[in-house]
Amino acid sequence: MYRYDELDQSLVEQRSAEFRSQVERRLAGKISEAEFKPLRLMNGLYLQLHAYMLRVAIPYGVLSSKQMTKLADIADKYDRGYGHFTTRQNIQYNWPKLIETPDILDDLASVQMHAIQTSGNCIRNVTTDPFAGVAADEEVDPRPLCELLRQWSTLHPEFAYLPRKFKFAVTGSAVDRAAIKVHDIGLRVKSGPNDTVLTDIWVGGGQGRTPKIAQLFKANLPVEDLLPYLEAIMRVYNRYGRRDNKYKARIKILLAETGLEALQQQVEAEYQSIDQTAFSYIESEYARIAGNLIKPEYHTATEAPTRTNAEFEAWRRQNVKPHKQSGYAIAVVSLKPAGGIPGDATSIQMRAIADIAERYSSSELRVTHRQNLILPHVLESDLFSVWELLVKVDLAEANIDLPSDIIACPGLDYCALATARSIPIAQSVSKKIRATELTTDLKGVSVNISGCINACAHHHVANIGVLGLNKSGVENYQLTLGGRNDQNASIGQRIGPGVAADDVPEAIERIVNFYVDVREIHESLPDTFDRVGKEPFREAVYG
Amino acid sequence: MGDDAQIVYSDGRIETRNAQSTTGFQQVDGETDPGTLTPFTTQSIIVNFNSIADGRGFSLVKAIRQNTGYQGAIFASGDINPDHLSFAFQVGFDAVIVSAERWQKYGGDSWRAALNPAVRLSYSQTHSKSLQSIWQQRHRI
Amino acid sequence: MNEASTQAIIIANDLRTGRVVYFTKESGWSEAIDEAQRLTDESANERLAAATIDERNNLVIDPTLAQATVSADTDRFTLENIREQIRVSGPTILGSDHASTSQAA
Ligand code: SF4
Repeated sequence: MYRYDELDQSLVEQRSAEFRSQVERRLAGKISEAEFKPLRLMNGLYLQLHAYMLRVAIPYGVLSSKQMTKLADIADKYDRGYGHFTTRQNIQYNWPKLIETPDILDDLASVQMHAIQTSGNCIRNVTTDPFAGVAADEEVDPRPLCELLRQWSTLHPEFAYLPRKFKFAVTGSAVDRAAIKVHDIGLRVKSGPNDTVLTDIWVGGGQGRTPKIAQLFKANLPVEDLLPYLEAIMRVYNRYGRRDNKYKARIKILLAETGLEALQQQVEAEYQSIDQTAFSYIESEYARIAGNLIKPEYHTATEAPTRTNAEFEAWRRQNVKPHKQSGYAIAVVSLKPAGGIPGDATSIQMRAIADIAERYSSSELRVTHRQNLILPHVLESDLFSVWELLVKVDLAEANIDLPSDIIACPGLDYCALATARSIPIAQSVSKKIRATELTTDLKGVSVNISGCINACAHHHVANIGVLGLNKSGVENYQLTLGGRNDQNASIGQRIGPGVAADDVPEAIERIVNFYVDVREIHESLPDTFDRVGKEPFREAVYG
Repeated sequence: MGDDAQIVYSDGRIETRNAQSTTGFQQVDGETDPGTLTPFTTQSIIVNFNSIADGRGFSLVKAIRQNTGYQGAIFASGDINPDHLSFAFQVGFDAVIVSAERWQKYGGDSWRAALNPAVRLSYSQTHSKSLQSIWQQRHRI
Repeated sequence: MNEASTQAIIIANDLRTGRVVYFTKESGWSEAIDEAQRLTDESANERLAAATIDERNNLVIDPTLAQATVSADTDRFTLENIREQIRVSGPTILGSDHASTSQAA
């Protein structure tokens, strides 16, 4: 975990004070809603269907026990006792009052947290591999770079008013768990010769109305040269990105309209014009950040694990992942109980997991892109105790990476932009599919449900994507198959007409059953889909 | 003060000026493509922000100096509120021209408060003599 | 079912709390749907104009008309748009207490 210094701390405190004065101006009627909206959005405050919604940044998904406890306190003090973890590795509160948000920001600042740039047409919270720094297959720890990017992009004066929002994701492993190819900019950090760090820059990925897979824009750039290069990309995007149509304003459209080579040339020219001496401190800042990351102290197991039972073993098989430190494990905590609300946690659960992390995981937690939580440093010999504690607060569902581990956005139950509900669909799908997956050998089938074409649940790159639409006043759900969000990212294809809300669980079960019937050994659902084609799947669903 | 504009300088000075006194300044839109800039002939330039939703004017200052070799003063004006003052100074504007109407709307206190150099620092390099970014402070440059 | 007629109510969000509020007969705002003034086609636009004054006065945000059908025999009032229905009922999430804690229920 990165530890703030006084300067980091004073920045978030000032920002909180500034927001307080903006809220005062608004309440006193000195500024209109039209003027206030961009200001509140820069601090993550939306107005949704029932109330305001505050999105709090959890930079690259890493947080401490103390921070998680504060999030629980905020849920109780200012909200309704729960929070919603998102695919952007953030947390959202659904019921804050405008008059209390300045106090919430102060409370957040007291534990080195903020809501800066979680909304608005700026560079958003950077996301990364939830297993960063602990994955057994990791090449370079992406967290120092993530923190460098967080600082660089925070209140960057040139990039606060872009044509549209802008999202970065970073991975340090060949196996991409950060979905870098569906972000505006995806960065792959790798190790170069003589202990150097190199980056590949992927540009122009994205979802929404026009899903695109990113293209390799620049390979093997030394990490010290990355920020000026990114500034060049951002300037060219800011200059030429479309402002006339918000659906065409993302960099993916600029890339498509300009062409890869031409855009590379523009960026290269801009890069040459940048005064590199202004970035002379990047190397030392990167080193300072890396040195400021709180590293867990690893011990050797003192006792051999003895206790076990069948339920625990099922959980261990499904939810525990290999750690790079021998004797340790990564425990993924599912926020997807069958029939539950994906990504929601109550304040009781938040406190419980904060306590578990304090005792068994060096006080550290992660939020994953799939809306789950992670205990990143658990001694294998402690796993059973951890599991017992999770069971007590209903956090021990053994379904990580199974179809019931659904990503769902808030949808029409909360979101002002939604065309259909997603949470109740996720609830009925997970209830139904859970029985199937318990009796079938399934690995890694992703089901993602978005409540509108904005695709916050990344349905385009799900193995099974569900998109909620409104068809003459009635909710209707389009199904896509074959999407992937990893290093082989691909966009799912529609397999037929949309189905009614009540028919979604059945349709998904048919897809899963058909896949199980026809797959070859070790074949993933999208691979099966690519091999057998759309028709048989369509047949299986629509009969 | 009537119709007089307030000119807020990066070093904290505030000057009241008759609105007409800036008429000789050359005006540039914030959205201008830096590639199309031609040399300036006046001693003062105003970069006009038509809408703060478009932040390109904040990149233009550097480009004006780099591409045209211009040495004179550069002012920002238009849709700028107190929250943007430090952005303007960090990217190298010498001053921001605040119309009488805007000055009143946000109140002199808000404008003065926003001038506090400790307020709203960002991390990356600034181009102002009186402001040091967080990274500049950390690495003493 | 007999002839149904249409009526409308005015829905907005309260500026200070963000909560869903309804424009009342007394030209005030209430969080209780029962206190929403039911408007006929003729009165709707005039009342919306009155409600909009409160937007300018920074009390509420985005007052809008929500159309409803009213069945003639039972006087049952049903908002036409599912979005507005959910704004009134609160989240429809199954088996959770999130929905029941909604003030708008
Ligand atoms: S996908 Fe649409 S409905 Fe879902 S959260 Fe995003 S904007 Fe809202």
